Amino acid sequence: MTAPGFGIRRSGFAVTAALLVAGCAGSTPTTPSTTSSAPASETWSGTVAPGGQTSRSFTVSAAGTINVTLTAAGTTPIGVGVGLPRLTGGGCRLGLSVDATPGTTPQISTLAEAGQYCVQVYDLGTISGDPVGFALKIDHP
Amino acid sequence: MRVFAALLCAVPVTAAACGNGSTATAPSSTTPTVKTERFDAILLPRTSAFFSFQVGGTGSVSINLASLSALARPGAVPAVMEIGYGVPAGEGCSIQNSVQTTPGLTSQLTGTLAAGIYCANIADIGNLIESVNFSMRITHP
Repeated sequence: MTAPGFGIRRSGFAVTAALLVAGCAGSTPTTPSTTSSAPASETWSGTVAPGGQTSRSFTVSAAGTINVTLTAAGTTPIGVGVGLPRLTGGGCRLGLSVDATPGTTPQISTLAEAGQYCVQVYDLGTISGDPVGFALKIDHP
Repeated sequence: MRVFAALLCAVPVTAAACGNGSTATAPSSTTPTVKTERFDAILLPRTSAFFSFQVGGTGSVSINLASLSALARPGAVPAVMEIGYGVPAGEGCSIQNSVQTTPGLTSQLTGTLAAGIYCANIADIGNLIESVNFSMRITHP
């Protein structure tokens, strides 16, 4: 069993060495760099049972717009929402939601700060019998 | 402990060895780390709730009502609520600044606060017809 703090001691050596090396490096100024996050596009497919809901988390790396497009589902509308992941127990706490039918334009488009978010798909009370399959696309910074 | 001592010694030694005759700079002040806290709870109609947080140094504080959803059914509740910040007073929060807003994924209220203990508050102004789950994000130094 590793003694508590062992990793920290090793890190201490590594940091010390890095400081020594970096401290004596040439003093040529470097051009300041800006960090830009490439837009991400995620696809997600699954099923929703009668009275059920399912959710998926994603990370927004910088402030920008989240677009959610329900691209495939059954013949009746289903609920789609975006929010924050629950702190415990999984699931999603929704900030906005819509009753959606499949399409090619985003059913949800909203500004968001950088952070952890989730999208949830849920039955509006219209699913009976077998679970309904769906597919959606999430575009975000 | 010896390693940490070595690390602390290495920094000034390195700087001195590679000085190149540069002018000494004044010690810089420490910038408090910005942190985001979550306040998740249940709000009953015509009630309020608050969350205390500690600001480590003068800086920008932002409050975001990110989620409002019914307890017994899925979907977001787009009700206008009042969110604010202030200082704890007795068993409540003495509001200094507030705004009425619907849930969203960007900050609805910002301000500059000095180091100290503050509280973030949420209140129903008469729009809730049922109890709701809510999620707030408080970002502060």
